[in-house]
Amino acid sequence: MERQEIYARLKEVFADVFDREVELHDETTASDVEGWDSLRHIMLISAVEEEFEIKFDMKAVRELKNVGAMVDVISEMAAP
Amino acid sequence: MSPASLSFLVLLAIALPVYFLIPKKGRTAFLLLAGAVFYAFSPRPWTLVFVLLNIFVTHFSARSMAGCEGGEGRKKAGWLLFWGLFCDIGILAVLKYSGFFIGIWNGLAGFIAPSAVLPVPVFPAPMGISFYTLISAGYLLDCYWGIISPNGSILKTGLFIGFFPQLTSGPITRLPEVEGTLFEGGAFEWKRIIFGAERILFGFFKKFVIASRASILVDAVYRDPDGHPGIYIWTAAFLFMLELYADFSGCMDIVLGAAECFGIRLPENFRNPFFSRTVQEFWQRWHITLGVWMRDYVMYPILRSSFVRSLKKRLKEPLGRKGAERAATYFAMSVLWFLIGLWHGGGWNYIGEGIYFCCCIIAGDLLSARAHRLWKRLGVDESSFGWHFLQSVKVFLLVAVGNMFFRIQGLRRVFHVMRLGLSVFNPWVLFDGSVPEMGLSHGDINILILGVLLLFAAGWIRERRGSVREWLSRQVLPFRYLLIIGLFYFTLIYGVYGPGFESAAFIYEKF
Repeated sequence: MERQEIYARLKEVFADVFDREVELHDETTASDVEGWDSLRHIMLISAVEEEFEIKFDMKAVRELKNVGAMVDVISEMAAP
Repeated sequence: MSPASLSFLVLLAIALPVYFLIPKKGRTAFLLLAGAVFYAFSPRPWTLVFVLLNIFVTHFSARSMAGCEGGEGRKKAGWLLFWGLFCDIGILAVLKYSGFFIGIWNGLAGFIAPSAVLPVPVFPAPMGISFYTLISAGYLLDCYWGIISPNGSILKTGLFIGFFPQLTSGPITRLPEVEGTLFEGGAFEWKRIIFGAERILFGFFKKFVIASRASILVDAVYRDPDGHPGIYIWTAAFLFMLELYADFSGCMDIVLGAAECFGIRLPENFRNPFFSRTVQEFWQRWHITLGVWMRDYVMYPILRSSFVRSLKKRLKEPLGRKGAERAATYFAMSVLWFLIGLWHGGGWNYIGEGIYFCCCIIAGDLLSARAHRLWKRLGVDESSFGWHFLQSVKVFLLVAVGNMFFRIQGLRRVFHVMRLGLSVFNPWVLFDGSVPEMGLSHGDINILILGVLLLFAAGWIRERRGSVREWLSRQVLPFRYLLIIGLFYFTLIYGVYGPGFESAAFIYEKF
């Protein structure tokens, strides 16, 4: 799956979870997005899993450092 | 041995030069030896056997998991994880919670079959068992999930679980956070020793000048709440918040400062919790390592379990996708808070505390979007200092009430004391000389106020500039030493010490 397509779908997921449009880049981290706390993080992970029909393992859940890393994992796991 | 004791400082003063003189290879074994001395001078030194048992079980379970790949391998790893956790948590459950669970059983048996009532056992739990059990369990789970590789040597596992400064009260560490410095330490550095010593001094100041002094009034009120109704109860509740913070964060300052002297970096447990705007944020700044542990090892696995996934699917139709997601998260949070309550002790008051904070956080989450809209409509600038201050006061009051569950033993008694707090309106007793009669003189009150102001000033610097000690090191030398020597004498002269210059134990040491 193309990164551009992943980003477009991720933006919708983020908007849904955070109730507003969120600017996303590869370097975006939790500290850049207001309200991205541990509670929202896990809601986000679930919403991303559902959107892309994938399942992150615990290692991925804990070690996703930024949006770029999340996109990398999604592009690896998601069906084309 | 308590970290706030003279004997701890003596042990530190002897261990430090030896640590830097011996070859790096021997440092892990040396710190373990220092841990054994630390335990030998503690009450019930023989309970060290339970710590050793935990280390052996954890190390060999984790080591055996290495290389368990593929279907059969994962199954074997799953069994090793199960037995490792069963032993570690089983020891904790038997030593710390059997009295609580047998009490529940006896309560039920009293109604159904009085002959089945069992005697309530009292086991001697080892010091810090609740802390090192969580460290071990987290280590086993991380090995199972492939997040870390198990330690090659049992000495390393032993030090990771039983590094002596953190043995009694945490912080609850995870291997990747500490392995870089724990197993080798750094080269001798004066700056680090001075920074560590400054932090230890500030910890002693918090413990002896603030916590021990505040506890005089808190203990007097809670010893006889019926004789101290109305405003006394709420004054004690608010003072207990300060006592608990000064006590626990003071203990952490001593622990982290001691580790820093060895060149070992431990994770922070507090980040100015009183500057929080919501109860949820408060818990992200208070006892951070416990919250992170519970999130990663309890909440995430629950939310990712097949049970919760199927629950979400079933709830999707009546609640919608977001509603189902929220309901599942709240369910996992409830389990988490129940366990946080239980972790603090086998008592319904602790579980009541967990439920109280869970309700505060869920209510905050449900109301936050509406509240933001309302404040916007009313023209409130939520980024202003005044608004932040009011939000922090609200959080302080909510948390102070919640911590009454923590301080007062027995759930019925908690509600009784709360009722007493509402039974009379008597704010004038704070000004008519009644407080000094409870053991806190006018001088003590002034010192307490000064101490708390200093505490908040340090917190303010930390919030704005990152590190108080870095800020201090940039100041001119006379000012810097004036502050440090002043703090030293202030602590020495105005500290509230027990007999033999040994204070009462830290509140969190009982866990």
